Amino acid sequence: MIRKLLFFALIAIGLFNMCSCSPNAIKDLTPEDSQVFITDVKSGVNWNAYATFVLPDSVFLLNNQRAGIWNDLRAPRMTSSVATNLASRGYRRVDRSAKPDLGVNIIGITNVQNDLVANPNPWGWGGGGWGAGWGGGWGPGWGWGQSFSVVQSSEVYWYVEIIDLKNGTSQQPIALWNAQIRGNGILDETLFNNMIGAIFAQSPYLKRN
Amino acid sequence: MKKYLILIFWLGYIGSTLAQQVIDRPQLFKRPSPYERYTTYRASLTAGLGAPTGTFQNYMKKNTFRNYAASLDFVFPNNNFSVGATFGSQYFQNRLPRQVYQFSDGAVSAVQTRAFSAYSLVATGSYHFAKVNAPVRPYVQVGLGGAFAELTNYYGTIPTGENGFKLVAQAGAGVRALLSKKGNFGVELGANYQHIPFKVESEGITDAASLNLRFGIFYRWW
Repeated sequence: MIRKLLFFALIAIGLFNMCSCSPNAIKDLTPEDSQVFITDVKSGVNWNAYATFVLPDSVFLLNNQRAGIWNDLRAPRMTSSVATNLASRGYRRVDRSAKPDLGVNIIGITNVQNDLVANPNPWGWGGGGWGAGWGGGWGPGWGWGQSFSVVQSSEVYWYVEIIDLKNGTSQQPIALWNAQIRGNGILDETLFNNMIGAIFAQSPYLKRN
Repeated sequence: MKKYLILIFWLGYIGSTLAQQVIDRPQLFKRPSPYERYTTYRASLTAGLGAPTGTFQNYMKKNTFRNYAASLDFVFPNNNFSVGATFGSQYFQNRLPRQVYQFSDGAVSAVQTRAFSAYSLVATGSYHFAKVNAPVRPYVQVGLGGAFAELTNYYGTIPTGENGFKLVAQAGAGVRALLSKKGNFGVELGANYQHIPFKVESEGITDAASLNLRFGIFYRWW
């Protein structure tokens, strides 16, 4: 009898391991591979109609709806990379006073959120998901039944946008193009050129003949 | 007088035990084994290769070795059938190099990591082509049950996908061999086709079908 019970206990433990060790599919991604570049473009834009652009030397920051300016030494690297790419597409960088056709903004967006979540699934299924989560949670004993954990989710991403200053007004700006840079390592300045290069590379229409 | 009574009693006792041995031993060996008399039990643990098929193969491309099954069966003594339940677990993963995906109003450049997992519980019925105590028993098997299936496509670190409880249908064949003639342990090798209707239009799959080849051990008892 005891042997049987032991056998079933072994099977139960085996089953439990099979369920709970749902592997994390993206834990071996390098920072470069984890980066995602998303570009959106307004359809039907004649990119030849624009000649000049204005680009501030600083990078804007939005942190949980608080706005600021990134006065880090790395900011100029970001702006110069964008400026170089636009120049190679035939656009000329000018001062704000020279009535530029296009306005370019680089914004770093950070959102940090703390949530107390009930973990209804003590089997540990469905891991993966967003970043830092699932800390703690198990507590004493086997953890059958509901458990609670604090999940801190933070997202940091770069947002690069181009707006039409020629036809739009400051009250009604016309957004022409935007790019999001998401993933790991996006604050690493050695990757800035790659990141900015990638968002322009996937937007071949963005050029002046 | 008392001494004689005791002696007679002893002789009688010894005689009776000898007589029992003489009568019973051959009968004991003629009796069928418990596996042939009762419904008995069999538990097995197997693991092995999983290969996606159909649209799922186009999507997943890669085979997996994270493919496990644990079964518990009631084995019937005379008719070569057994019924039981199988808990299975599968995990497929496919990473694509960085690519630019064009959409109507933009583009996404990302390294895709496609992951699929299914945890299934299936009721099975088997027919064996050999008697219950045969050292080697080939079998065919069908199964029907449910699974928690999850398909996640990570664009970089951003997950998209679907999950849910789905139907599972299986058909397979294999062979079980006892390690010793009267032992409880044996090894088994089985292959099956598993169909999970799991349609994800955005990913271009209509089902999560796979061929599985698993090897493992079993234990039987009564």
